[in-house]
Amino acid sequence: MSAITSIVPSRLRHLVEVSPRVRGTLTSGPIQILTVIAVFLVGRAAVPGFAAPYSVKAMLVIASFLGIAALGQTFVVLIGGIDLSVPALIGAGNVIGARLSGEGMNSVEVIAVVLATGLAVGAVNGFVTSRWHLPPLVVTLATGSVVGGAVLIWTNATLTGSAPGWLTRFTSAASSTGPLPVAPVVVLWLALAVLAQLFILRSRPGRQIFMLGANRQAAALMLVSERTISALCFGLSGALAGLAGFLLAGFTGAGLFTVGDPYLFQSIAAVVIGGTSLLGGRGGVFRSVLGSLTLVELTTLLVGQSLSSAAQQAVLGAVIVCVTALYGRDRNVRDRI
Amino acid sequence: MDRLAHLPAALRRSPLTVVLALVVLLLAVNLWLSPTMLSGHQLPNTVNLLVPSVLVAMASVPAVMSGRGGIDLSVGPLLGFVNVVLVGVLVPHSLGSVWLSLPLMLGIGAVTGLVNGIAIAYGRLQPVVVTLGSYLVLSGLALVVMPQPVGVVPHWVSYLSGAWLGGYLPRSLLLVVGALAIWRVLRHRGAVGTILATGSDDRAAFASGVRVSRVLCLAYASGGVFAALAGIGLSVLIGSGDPTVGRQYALAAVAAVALGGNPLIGGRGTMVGPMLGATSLFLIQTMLSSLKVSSLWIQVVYGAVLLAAVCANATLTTRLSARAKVGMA
Amino acid sequence: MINSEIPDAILETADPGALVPNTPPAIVEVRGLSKRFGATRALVDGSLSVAPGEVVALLGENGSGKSTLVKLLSGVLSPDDGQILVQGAAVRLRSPRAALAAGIVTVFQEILAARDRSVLDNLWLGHGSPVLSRSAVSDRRRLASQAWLGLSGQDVDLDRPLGELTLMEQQICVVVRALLREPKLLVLDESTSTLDVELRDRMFDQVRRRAADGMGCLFISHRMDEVMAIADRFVALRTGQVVGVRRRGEADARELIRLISGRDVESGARRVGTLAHGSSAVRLEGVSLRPGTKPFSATVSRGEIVGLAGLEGHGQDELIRCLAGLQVPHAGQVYVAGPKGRADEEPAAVTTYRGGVARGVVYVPRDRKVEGMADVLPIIDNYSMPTLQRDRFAGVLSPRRTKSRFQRDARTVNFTPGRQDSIGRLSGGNQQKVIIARWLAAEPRVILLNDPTRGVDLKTKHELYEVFRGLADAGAAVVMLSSEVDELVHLMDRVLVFHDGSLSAELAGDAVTPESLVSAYFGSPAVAAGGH
Repeated sequence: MSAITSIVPSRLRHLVEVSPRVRGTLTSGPIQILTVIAVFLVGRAAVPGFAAPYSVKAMLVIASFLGIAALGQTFVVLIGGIDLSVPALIGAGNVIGARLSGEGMNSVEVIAVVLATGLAVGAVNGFVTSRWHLPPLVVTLATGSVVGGAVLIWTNATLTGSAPGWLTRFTSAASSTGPLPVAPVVVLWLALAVLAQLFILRSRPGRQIFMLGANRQAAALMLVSERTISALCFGLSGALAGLAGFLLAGFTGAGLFTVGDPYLFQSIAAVVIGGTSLLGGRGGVFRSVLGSLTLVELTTLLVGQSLSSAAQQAVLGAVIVCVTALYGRDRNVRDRI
Repeated sequence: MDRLAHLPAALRRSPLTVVLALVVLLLAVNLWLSPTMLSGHQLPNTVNLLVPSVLVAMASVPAVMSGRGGIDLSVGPLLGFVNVVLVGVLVPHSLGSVWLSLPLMLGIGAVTGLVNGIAIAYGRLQPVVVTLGSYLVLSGLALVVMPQPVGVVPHWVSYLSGAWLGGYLPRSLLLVVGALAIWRVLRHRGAVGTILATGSDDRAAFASGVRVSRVLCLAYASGGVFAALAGIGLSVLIGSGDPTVGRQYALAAVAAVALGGNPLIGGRGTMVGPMLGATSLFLIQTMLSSLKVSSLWIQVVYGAVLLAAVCANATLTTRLSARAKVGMA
Repeated sequence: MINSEIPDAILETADPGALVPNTPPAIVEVRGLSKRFGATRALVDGSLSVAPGEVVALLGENGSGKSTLVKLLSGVLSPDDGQILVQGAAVRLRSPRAALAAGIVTVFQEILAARDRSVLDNLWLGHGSPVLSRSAVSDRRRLASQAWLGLSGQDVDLDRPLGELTLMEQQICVVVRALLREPKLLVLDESTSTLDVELRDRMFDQVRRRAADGMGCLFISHRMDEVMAIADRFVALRTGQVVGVRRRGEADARELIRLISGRDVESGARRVGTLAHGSSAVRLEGVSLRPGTKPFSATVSRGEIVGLAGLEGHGQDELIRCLAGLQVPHAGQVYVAGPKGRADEEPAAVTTYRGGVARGVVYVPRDRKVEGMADVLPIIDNYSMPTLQRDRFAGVLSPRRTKSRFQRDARTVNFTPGRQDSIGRLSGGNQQKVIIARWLAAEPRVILLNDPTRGVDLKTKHELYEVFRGLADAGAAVVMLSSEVDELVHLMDRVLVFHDGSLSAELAGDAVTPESLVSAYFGSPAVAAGGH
């Protein structure tokens, strides 16, 4: 078995690595795009109605919530971290958004509050991890626990508030954006992805993110401030998670603190399936867009197979590992000597 | 003998200092709040509650030690899965006797860990991804095997929930003793040292003739065995099968490892530290519940203590290593 | 289970006709070994043999196939073609484990060690039986400390984590580890680069003593003086092929260099700066590097190249880090001239790294892989990172600007960008050029180079010397730490020699000779102390 796995993927990886320029500009290997298409074709063949316009629109909406959270997670993973506070912040964004809107606050102000909360918590994550050189996994686990608990106390663990009316239309799969036949939330997601891509390719802090993720010590000698960049990446992750939570309120109607729970592993899985290395320094934002699409397609496919949710989960777990095996493999220890 | 001579130095630079202090402090507070906690009457219940957390923390240790982002997120669901298989499969098929079910369960743990290890070592996949995958697979399978909490545990498991010596020696401690014995054998055979060396620099280990891939498999497999023991501990605790409870342990185990002073980048660490870490997390919970704090607060306090402890740990160790560097110059 | 002693080597029947009568069987013989990576032929039909008691030097520039041969011999790579014979029997070395079992022990160029583990654990890493009795453990301790003492002449705390030791001690550790394995063939790949002169000589003694007992040694170094000092036979490689074999005494250094490079390389001739030494760029006042060491003062002027030298760990490394602002001296101050370099500007103290860079003090670190670059990232990122703000146009980076900047600076350091994308795939010398080019954009006035030619082949080394001289001629003050005597003699206008944490001698011009340097290394009073 090991003989087969060691031959095939190295060839595939070669395919990806042949075209550094393509990778540099698109920051996504052709394999990821092919995966999205392949899973779609399998879905169309296996599940009736999978490729129907309404179904595709619905998938895109679901992917956009995940995708926005995954964009944030990507920044953190690029510096070699991981953000486990994402579900708590999605929950917080959801509850704060619904509750403040329910109390009649102006939506712009609500969004500002949500973004500021996420940014602040994220910045704390970034500061603490870089100041004391702590593992992000533990730090974000802890802050996530604190934020999640605080939201729980605030809402007394019940459904609370209500989403503003426009948000329901904004996130409805049936609505369209001007001439585009997709929900506004999808357009927002893709716009954010383009902005994020521009940011990492064409701004100084964006390039510094890669250097920090690839080699911390060398980055310090190249005048990259670890604290600033860490705070920035975790801050963006927090803000985007909060935003995703707020948008989810349009979907759920009211604020519920547990709404973020599935996103803990999904946001990481989307980044990894997209092909961004958890070791840092390698990957990109568009990859996570593709990763989110693949993940949502897979979930829909499994639902369509009328599997129980438990069985779906089991199959999804196996599929995530197999998909990553296509291109997310580390270098052999022999090649590192 | 040699180790004794080095004890003072070892203590000074020990990463255990913080967690040990934390456990002592929390224990004192707990005893002050509820003096009967360690009485023969209450001790077995307390220990039964504690045992799965300690074992699942132990289960996370080898993977973290083995380095290159090593982590095993699947130990939580694995313990739930073992519990469900015991109650939902083995008992109905009258395979519940200790001589049949114990090896079978440990085997499930070892094989699950081995599969993770093979995917990581030979498939060269990132540990977070692999164990996240098996996390989903195991928690899904647990629900497939047993959709609702149901069933009874075999006799030998309920026997373990009792205690000897008038309650002062809870029998569930046998599971922890068993895990420690396995770890001791591994240490004595040099396997722990090899896991740590691989975690510290796998290229150095490989170039020196260590079979790195096998070492990784061993690390994950031993973690799986500990998780299976934790599953038995869970069965002792709840006395039935529950497909969802295992997952709660997954992240707490990582927290316990970090609290115990083991660096998550691997290459260093102890087994005692994470055990103490799990104990202190448990004591926080008991403290809050005897303070009649709303259960909603537990999560907040949990996170805050974890954050404070790892920060304290980090400041302490950097100061120590700074001192070591000055001494060197 | 992990350590069981089953060698992975599969013995094949030896070709009986291969044994030529009347010659002692080689310890290790390599026949027609070939290896290719994609389209690159890294080693073509490589053949060589090492007899018992023989030290064979493997010579070649970077990319000549040396490291490929080493990796094949150590089991890291498998050959596409050809045979490796150990004492006449063909072996297949599938893994380092198999190579070690066959008696071929390699000390790799990079120090491969588990830095979290104790010295003792590192010395016996991957070695021996799994279950150790108490007496076996104490045997190991005794053997380990004996071997360490034998090589370094010093005792070591076997229980200390290796990472707390100096780079040189870590290097000693990997060499001792190899010796403890009782090798039939010892492969030393650039294993002297972090050792100082004294330790290197001790290591050579050890190798000779082992060789007298029948061990073979394959020795690889870019330093001609070392090679000439130890080797019985020289094998030269060029572009993956063996281009010549010479016995000791058959060829001098010049001839060997010609063999390696395929042409004459001008060496030995000193080239002194063309710029009359300008105003002072760096001033050290009453600097004391460690508690209790003698304070000293010194200056470095624009246009000169000043070497920092000494035995490893005698203070030169601390000084260069103090100059860079990475470390603060125990007492005293480091002053740097103002940004314009004019006399009327106030010199300022350097206390932080960023502050230093802002004043035009740039630093090229010692360990490229750890501190110098991110090997997974493109060359262009590794070049542009600290000066990216220059490429901003309306707040957005312009890759075209970066590229044109890079082309200009690459020309200055004599680097020709090839098809490679990531810096990790370049040779050590070219990596170093990119790292130096990185700082040219910061308009450096003081260039600090921490042993920049380590692991760089001779040809590239001389190219780098030209670059350094060019930078000095353009008005920069160049301070360069070097552990190589030849380099100090060849390149430096002045050399500051350190002993026991303080400046012990200052040699200038023609006073920089191998003899004067080495005696100053040992703090010999025969040389007039230059400290004030």
